[in-house]
Amino acid sequence: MALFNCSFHNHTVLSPCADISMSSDLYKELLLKSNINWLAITDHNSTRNIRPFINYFSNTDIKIVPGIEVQTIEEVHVIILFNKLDEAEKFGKFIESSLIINKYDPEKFGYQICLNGEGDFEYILENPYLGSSSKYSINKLVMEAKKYETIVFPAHIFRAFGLITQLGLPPKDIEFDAVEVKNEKEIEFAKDLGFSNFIFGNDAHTPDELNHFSCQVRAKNRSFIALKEAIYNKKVYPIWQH
Amino acid sequence: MILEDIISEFNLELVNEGNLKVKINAGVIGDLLSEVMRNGKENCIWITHQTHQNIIAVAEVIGAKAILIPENLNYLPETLERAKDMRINLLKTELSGFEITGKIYKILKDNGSI
Repeated sequence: MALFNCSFHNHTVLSPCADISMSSDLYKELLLKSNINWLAITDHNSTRNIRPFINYFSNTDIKIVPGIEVQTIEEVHVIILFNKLDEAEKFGKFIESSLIINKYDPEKFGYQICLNGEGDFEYILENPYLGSSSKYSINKLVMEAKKYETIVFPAHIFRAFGLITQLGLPPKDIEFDAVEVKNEKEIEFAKDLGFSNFIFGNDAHTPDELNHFSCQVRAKNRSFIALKEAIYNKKVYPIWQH
Repeated sequence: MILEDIISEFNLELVNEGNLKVKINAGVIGDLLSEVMRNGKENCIWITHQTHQNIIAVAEVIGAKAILIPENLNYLPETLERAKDMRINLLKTELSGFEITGKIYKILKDNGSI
């Protein structure tokens, strides 16, 4: 068993609200400094930059998990991590085509930049607007996500766009693999609400948000299966930022 | 003011019927259910764009007597199911949230209900 330094919630230049410098080049520099060696790329409502990131990091000791942060019709942010890249990409297209705002002004809301495998800017995604909600409900989303090998968890559940902020209480009929919380108080509240599995991410939108790791995972390797096992075996340890 | 009088006054569509004879003497608007849980008052009408089934549980918790969605939005199927079980009044209107809130506020204020 080894101990890995992790963040399972991170944005790239593709997310309109992320800093325009959040390319794979800058990621590499920041991750080497912060010693993160297992992270998920979870842009808003799209998976277009995952393959470029995986290619870019293929000769490094940094392991990338394909993911997406979907905004449901209830405006709840839900993260889905995938075992297989092609399934993540298929799901990303499915979500993109469900977004309810198509046209937007990048000058006001931020550019959506797609990279290539060398880490260079490839093109700007003009529509849909990735900051939009999907037309799918949280129930429908989770049901669709569970058709694949996935880890499904609501992001920052007590913050803006969080499950509990939006919906008041945990939905009765949805089973998540884990929930994301941001500090000790929140983890205690979450336990009171009945949640028992936890996962943590930096929710990095800017370079300074990649200067630490938000959790450590004890696992035999950095495979998707090992991550899922670690979640269920409570081997994901938060590193709180104060 | 009695709920069924509000419904007929503003021609609201009744999507699920509970007790229509209840008195409404408060109102709340909000799409964040955590906020509504904090601020909602008993015997209120709640105007929201949120259609997830948890609105039914929150209405129960705060003692709301009716939920109203504007803009001709639709309740999710599972929300309707749950409302039937709980006998919660679900309403809708084609008016915007701003407009219907203003109208309901005015009538409740004018007749001394709030």
